[in-house]
Amino acid sequence: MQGRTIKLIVNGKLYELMVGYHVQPWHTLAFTLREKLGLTGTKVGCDRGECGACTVLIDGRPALSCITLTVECDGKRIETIEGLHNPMTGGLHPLQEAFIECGGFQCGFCTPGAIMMAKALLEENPSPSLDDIREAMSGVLCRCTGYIPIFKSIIEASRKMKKGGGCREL
Amino acid sequence: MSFKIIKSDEAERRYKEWRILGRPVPDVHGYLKVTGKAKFVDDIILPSITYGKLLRSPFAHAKIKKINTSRAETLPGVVAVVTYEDIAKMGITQKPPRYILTDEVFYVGDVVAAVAAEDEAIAEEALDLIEVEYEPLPFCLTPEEARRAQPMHPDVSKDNMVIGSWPPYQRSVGDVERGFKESNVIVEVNFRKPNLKHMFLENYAVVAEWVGDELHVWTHSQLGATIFAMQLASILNIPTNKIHVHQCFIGGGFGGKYGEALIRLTVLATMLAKKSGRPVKIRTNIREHFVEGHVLDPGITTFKYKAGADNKGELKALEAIMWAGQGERSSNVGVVYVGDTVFSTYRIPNKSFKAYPYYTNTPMSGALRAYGSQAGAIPLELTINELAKALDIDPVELRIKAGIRDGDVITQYLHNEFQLAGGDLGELVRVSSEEFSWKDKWQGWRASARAQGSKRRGVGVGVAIHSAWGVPWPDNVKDTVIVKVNPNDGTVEWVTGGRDMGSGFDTIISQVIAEVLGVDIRDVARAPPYSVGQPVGGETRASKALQTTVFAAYNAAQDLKRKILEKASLVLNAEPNKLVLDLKNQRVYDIGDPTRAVSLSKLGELFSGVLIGIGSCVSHYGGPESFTDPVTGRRLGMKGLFCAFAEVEVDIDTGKVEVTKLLFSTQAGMVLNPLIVYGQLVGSAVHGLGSILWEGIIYDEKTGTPLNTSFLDYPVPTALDVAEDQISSLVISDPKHARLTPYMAKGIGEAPLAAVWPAIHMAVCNAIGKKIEEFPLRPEKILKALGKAPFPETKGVV
Repeated sequence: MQGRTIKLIVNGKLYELMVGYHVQPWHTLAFTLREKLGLTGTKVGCDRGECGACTVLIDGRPALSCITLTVECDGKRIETIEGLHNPMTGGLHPLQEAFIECGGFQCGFCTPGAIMMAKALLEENPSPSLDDIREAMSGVLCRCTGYIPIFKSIIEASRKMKKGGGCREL
Repeated sequence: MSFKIIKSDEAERRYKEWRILGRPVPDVHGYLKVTGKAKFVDDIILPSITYGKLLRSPFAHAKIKKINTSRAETLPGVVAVVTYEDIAKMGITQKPPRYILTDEVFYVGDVVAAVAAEDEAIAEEALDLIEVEYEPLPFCLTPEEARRAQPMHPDVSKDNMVIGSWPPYQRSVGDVERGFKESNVIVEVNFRKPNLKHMFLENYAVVAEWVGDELHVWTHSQLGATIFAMQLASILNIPTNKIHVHQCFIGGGFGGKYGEALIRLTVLATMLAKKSGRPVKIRTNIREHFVEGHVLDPGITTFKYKAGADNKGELKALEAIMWAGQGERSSNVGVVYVGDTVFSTYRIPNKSFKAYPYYTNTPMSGALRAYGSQAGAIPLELTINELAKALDIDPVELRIKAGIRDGDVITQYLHNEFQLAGGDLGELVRVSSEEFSWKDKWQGWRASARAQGSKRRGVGVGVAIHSAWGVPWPDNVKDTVIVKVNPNDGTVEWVTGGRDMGSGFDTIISQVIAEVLGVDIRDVARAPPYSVGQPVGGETRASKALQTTVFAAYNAAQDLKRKILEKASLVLNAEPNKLVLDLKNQRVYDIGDPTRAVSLSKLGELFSGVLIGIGSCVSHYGGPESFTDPVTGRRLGMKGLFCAFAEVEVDIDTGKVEVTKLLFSTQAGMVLNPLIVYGQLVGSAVHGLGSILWEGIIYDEKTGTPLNTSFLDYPVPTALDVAEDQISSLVISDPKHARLTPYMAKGIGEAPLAAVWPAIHMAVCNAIGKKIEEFPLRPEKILKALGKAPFPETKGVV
């Protein structure tokens, strides 16, 4: 393992990391994203796979980056909250817009994980029922909102995306 | 979820006058939060940063006889080790002095030493290399044990009682004995509550760095940067203006990041950074969440309430006693608030309250969402229900009749009195009961609960009061806001030393400033809060921001507008009230002749300080005459009034409780931002649903160790526990309910939870037809109450 190079495609950008130098075998994906790549949008809450704040997408599937080892992600496509908006225009993903409009967060700490989880849901099921949303979001804890504003945000995002949303100019 | 606002005619009129207030303006920090760019403490990564870890006590009470750190210090990668020997006697000056570290540990998880290293793995390895010789001492966890225990701080109190902020914790109004003599029915309730924790998602963390003789600290303290800097200055004994506190976003607080909660962690990071010459980050984990900061004040508590009423349902007397295990220290403010619920929820002529707060070997106790008000509401409401049951009258009718209302004299912080300015608890209960269809659902006290198979349905009601008026601290320092206008484009900036933790007052303040100055909300920016050069303000606690920080912002915006118009009147030779401030075009013009105008740049050039406004809030405590009732001469004050109705389904075979309907309501005054009010109400109610049903720290009786220290073992509500059609909220909007603030609004974010607790609790008791005098209402408690415990009662836990 030591000295081997692994490849991560993070938000469409290729990173080559040398094991033993850039990344240690015991480093979690959350640690690598945050501390080595500077992508601090992914939050670490419980750091043991219970709260879901660290949710990112690995090859399109939601994963808990705090209990995923970086070396396991060799060759995989990783999406984080930083990849969702258009940094040049400032345009937001419909989910991000909807979370703002519907008050889908208060403190904002669980929000990146919640949005990534919701993105995985809407990509698999563009018209989720309320129960589909509750089920999908059950692994992302939020202590502020009481969840209902999050459900509303996801329903609103689904509506926006069906209308051909995507990155909209601000 | 249904969210209904019932507006009075006067409210309708005011909403129509407003341009930006009263509208669902989204969070002004929304863009930062949804893009992951909002900086929380753990997101601060500095060049050459090191990582701190804390060695924690395995004993609930022990003397440290010897500590040897030499092996840890020589471990490659370790940069600094700090023990009490390095910082002897450093702490907060009060009784007992809170030393950051001493040679004694007071609870399992108390800090023994701190290590900083190149990475967290090395720091953790170093902790294992520190050799500590402990001499275990006797310890106590419950108030019953504490009453008989050796005093924990013998130099402070011989009877092991916590002194706190406002002793003694006793008060009596009227003649309680006579009240009981006049009563036809007398009931008694003995109630027990466990220790509760905040369970915010962002664990306690801090970053500290010394730059020469200046200290930089990144914090998520709810105190705000400026007050936090003053607190640190007094402990570290360095000038306040050398301490640069950078206020980060707060990843959930609920009171848990308030007061002294972050002091120890911050000072340890500061000392590690000083010793190593490197920046240090300490971030705690979820297990440490249960032993860092504080638990709810009051802590593990036994309540003994006795109440009497006559045959007509008139409440005659209430006698309340509580014994609280307050942990290794406490301000006892939560205890004081419990006392306020006794004196200020119902109209009872004779009442008394006595509290016995004891030192126990658990973490200190302090603020947690509506502290004291929620703990006080539940034994009180159970007592009122027992009275209604004994009289066989509808519990809703009793509350409509006896609830406090405008003009009543109520108690504040136990030692002070004021006259309630606005609100009517009985009326709130009446309107809410109609919304809930209580009359259709309530079957009477002796009617059997509606049953289907093993499922039993029950309904309940609960009310609560809470501060909407703030607590004075630190002495005489008022919230202050500074507003600045940019003459080149007319954009506006404002600043104060603290920031909201998601409760939304940064947004409300921006709305207020935009409303006063006549600009678009997008042209108002909130400058990042930072201690140096910025005023005190924006503490996020006690539902106080609408009274204090928003009041200050209103005054600052008015100050700015007044100054600009006054100076423009000199230039334009016109009365100030004939001039219009037109920030969009960066000018002031004459209303009669808009071509007569002066630019902001010109005004800024001619008159110093004209483009900056400063405002403070008026104090409620040593308050001005305008807050005195002209007829009675009494000081006026506000209270948040809350009501909840619940319907539950209990499975009597498994003990599982399902909340099928939950309605919560409040008299909010004017709703300045319905999106925020809605979010706060539902957030608090779901928080309450979790704490009454499942939460509560379980301690091992033999060692004092907290056992359920994770999100799995201390379960909080998840998305699966909330359904949209199950939850509804009702807001009564009438300016007369909050008439002491400029926009006639009051803080409502904390205490819906305090009404939700007794409502769900009563519904469960109603469903199974048994009195339960404790919570959380976990299945084993329900089955125990039903007399069919399938598992032996858990032994050895508190």
